[in-house]
Amino acid sequence: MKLLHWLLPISAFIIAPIIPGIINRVKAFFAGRRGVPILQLYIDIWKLLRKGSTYSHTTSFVFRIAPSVIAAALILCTFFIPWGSISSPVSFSGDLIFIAYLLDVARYFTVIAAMDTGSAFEGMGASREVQFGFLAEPAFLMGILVLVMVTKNTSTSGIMQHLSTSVWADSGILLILVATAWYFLLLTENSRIPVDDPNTHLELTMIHEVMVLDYSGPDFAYILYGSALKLWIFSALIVNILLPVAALPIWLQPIVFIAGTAGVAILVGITESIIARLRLVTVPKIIVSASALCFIALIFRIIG
Amino acid sequence: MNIISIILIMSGLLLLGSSRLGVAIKVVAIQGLVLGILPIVKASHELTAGVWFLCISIIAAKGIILPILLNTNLKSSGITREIEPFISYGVSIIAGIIMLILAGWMTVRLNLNRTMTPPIVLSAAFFMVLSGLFLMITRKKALTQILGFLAMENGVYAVGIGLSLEFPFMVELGILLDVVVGVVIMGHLLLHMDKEMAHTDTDRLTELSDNIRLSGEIKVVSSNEVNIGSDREVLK
Amino acid sequence: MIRILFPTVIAAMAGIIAFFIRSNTWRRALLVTTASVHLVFSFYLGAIKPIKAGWIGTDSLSVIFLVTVSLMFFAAAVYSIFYLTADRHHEPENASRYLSSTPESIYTGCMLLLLSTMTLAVTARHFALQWVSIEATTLASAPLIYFHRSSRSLEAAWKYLIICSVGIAIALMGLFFLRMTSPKVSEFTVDAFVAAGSSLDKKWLSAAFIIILVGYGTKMGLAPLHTWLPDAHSEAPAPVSALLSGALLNCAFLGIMRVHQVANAGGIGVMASELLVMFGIFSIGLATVFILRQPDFKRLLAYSSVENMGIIALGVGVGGGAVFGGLFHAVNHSLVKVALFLAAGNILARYGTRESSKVRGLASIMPTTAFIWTMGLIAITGTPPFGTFMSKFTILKTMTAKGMWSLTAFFMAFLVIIFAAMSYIVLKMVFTPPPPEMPEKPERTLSWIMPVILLVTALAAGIYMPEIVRNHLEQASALFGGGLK
Repeated sequence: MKLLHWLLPISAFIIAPIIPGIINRVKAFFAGRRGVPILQLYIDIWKLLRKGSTYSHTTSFVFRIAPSVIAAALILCTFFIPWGSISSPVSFSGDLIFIAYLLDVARYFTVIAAMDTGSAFEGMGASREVQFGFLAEPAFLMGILVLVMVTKNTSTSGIMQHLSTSVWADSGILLILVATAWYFLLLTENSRIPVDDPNTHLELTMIHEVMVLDYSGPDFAYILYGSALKLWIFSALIVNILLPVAALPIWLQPIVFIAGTAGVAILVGITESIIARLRLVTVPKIIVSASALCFIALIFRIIG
Repeated sequence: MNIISIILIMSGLLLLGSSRLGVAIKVVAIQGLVLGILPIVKASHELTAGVWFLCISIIAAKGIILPILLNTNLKSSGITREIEPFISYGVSIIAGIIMLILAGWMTVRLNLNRTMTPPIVLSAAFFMVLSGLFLMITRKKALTQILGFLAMENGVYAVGIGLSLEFPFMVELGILLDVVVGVVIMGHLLLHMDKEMAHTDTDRLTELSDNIRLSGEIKVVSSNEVNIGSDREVLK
Repeated sequence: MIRILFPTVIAAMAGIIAFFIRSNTWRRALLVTTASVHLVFSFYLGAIKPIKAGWIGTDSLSVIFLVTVSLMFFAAAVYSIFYLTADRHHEPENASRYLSSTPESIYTGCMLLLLSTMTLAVTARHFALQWVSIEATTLASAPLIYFHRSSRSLEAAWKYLIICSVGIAIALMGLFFLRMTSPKVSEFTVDAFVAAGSSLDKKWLSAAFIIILVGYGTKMGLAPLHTWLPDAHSEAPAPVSALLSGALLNCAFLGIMRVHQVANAGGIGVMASELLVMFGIFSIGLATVFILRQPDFKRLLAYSSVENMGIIALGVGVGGGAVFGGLFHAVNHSLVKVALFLAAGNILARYGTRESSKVRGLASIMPTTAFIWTMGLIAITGTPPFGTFMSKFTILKTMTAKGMWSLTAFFMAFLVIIFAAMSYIVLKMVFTPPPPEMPEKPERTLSWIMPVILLVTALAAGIYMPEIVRNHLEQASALFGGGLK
């Protein structure tokens, strides 16, 4: 059984880069194109890893260590994500907050490395990233609070194990609210379309891409891999909340879980296809709305 | 009940966040429809013909007639479709969250134990009242003031439901009639405002105040000039 | 039951009919006839024993307000004949902006509906019914404010409608809270709730009183909530301003008083009284500030209404003999303020301006109106021997007897300042040389007859109070544990 728990993050490491592939395929399907292969990201990462890196003269060591720190933080995160009732290998009370902090460490290093380049362009992206991150934080924390209150458990694995059908019958609507809010969060944090456009380069409106423009070679590979993991982490959390995976027999759970994650990816692809990117001034509205959903759930939990 | 109160809360937030008048009118219409359903869902006892009639009239009045009327007003006047807020939408929603917390706090403070409806309905109702008031204060257009008033009135009505109160049938109908006639008159005034002043911005309704010079002069200058020129012209 | 409903129904029916009558003459006849029938019937209701019929009924308190409403409406109706005909035939050259107006049928219809709703508001004993009728008064009077179709009156009507509707919607929430004080009492009427007395839940009751005070206080024009009042009162046509000030504000106050009655019975009377005193003194103070150097004479009267509403609230809040004074002041204020607003209508129609600095030589140009204007000033500032003096004096006497020295000092100071400020403005309008180009024009009897009658009544009230009036006032005060005895 011990081995099974360790299998979770390891399979996550292997599966994660497929998710952006699925999203791209869905988008291509909606656009009437054939699209890049689903495994494209593996190829990209492999290619980048074999290349050398170039560094600007104006950068310091911060710029060089950032990709490793980002990738490390996100890899560490993955160790805390359970699959349904199969608990994660590492787990302790309050580890969801630890996950939040790890995500913040990754964000912090992305931002500080972008600032380190001294480019005004990247500074702008950093400023936007921080603004939206700041607005998104309450949604994540409030969502955690709601989950903790609903399941009366404080570790990620514990929470997900306790999302039984009876909890669903009792406070399913809260879970839906939190999952919806976290879906908004997923779109924001992973720079997906209504907030940011992952495909644009050299455009004044982008947020995430602009911050990593100066990376090349293995450093860029780390960042791409980190992004894929981040997407995986958020999808996994949403699937855990939204699908009653924990109620299924144990052998079925990994299959349903992976299918669910793929489902989230497809949903993201559909969202990206049917919604236009928002103007930057309206983005805060969307992110704050996500927090509002979590607050509704919280108030509901306390009062109702 | 729970789902309905969540719909009500979300509609309040949507009102705070929406930037289009048309959307806002639709949201208020949904509020009206949901409010009409609420007494039926609540029903702790047998539904009388009176309750049915009341519910249907609420749905017809608040959910259908008034929104259609407001939409007609919107189209027949030269109002632009954009809601012009004094406070940005993001901040409005944050204010909405604060109001939501306030509403929850009020419900907890009231310490209800005698009612049969879940307290979340009351929170939703208080939130609607607060958000309606907020909308009236922070939006520029006269039409949004009407919408805010309607949202607030819906909230007050929901407070009654949340407290499990029932007034006699005739009185309830009278309350509804008052609201409908009120909104009709407001809509009528709105059209006149649009015709007379060529705008419906309530922040430009500044002709009447204690320190502007009055009557005689105003006849000579057009209303626009009055707005620009004589705001500061204090009586010597 | 029928007897109490009769004035409401007849006014409502006349109002609906008025919308469909084509002939101006008939419509005006209808207005005055309905007003006189209503007046006679109100006097009748005042003379007979109180009738209680469940949702509606009369007691001394409602009789006082009913007769006041009816009398003020009669005055306004008679004056309306002058006002509407002046519209046709005596249109001053430079006043076209003020005297181009809505169809007369809407005016008459809304006036009568206003009368009907006010009557219902005064006679209702079911709280929610009273709420419905008070809200309906707002709706009936908003088109009246927009009678002169100008951007200014439109603005005033809009502010009036929005602010009052919101206030009254808040009051409805207060009524829900009031209902929660005692779910077991089956009827939501004043009588049932007063009878339930100490069994009422104090926490709910306090919350309900505060919310209703804020809600109806908006409509009544208590100070921080009065913002619509000067605008609406100054922009409405003269008879409507008179009605708003002399009758409608009282109706809203009656709504507060009914809850105050329940609050007294429920054991939170002290808190309720203190709130009323607070709002009252604040209204007086704020009105004082705005009356000083007020350039517009109709706004001056409007702020004076804020002040007087403050005095009434103060009187009822202080308790004891002051309740008697406060109620008596409500009547006196209506009499004098209606006379003043009607006189202001005459001045406006003649001079075509609302700016007091432009109105000069009133005494020589419009002698009768000037007389009313001056007498009205003397009366409204509470100079003996008018009834207003008696009522203010009664309130002051009680306040000193209760040892509220600082409050008394403030009250006196405000009254003195208002007296000085209003005299300065009004007397300057009256006793100055007239502008040269003003031609002499006789004043029509209809324009001054009602104000003079009202002022004479106010004067008489100060000199001699008939037994029946005294009885009603005493009994009404007794509802709040007050009275002179």
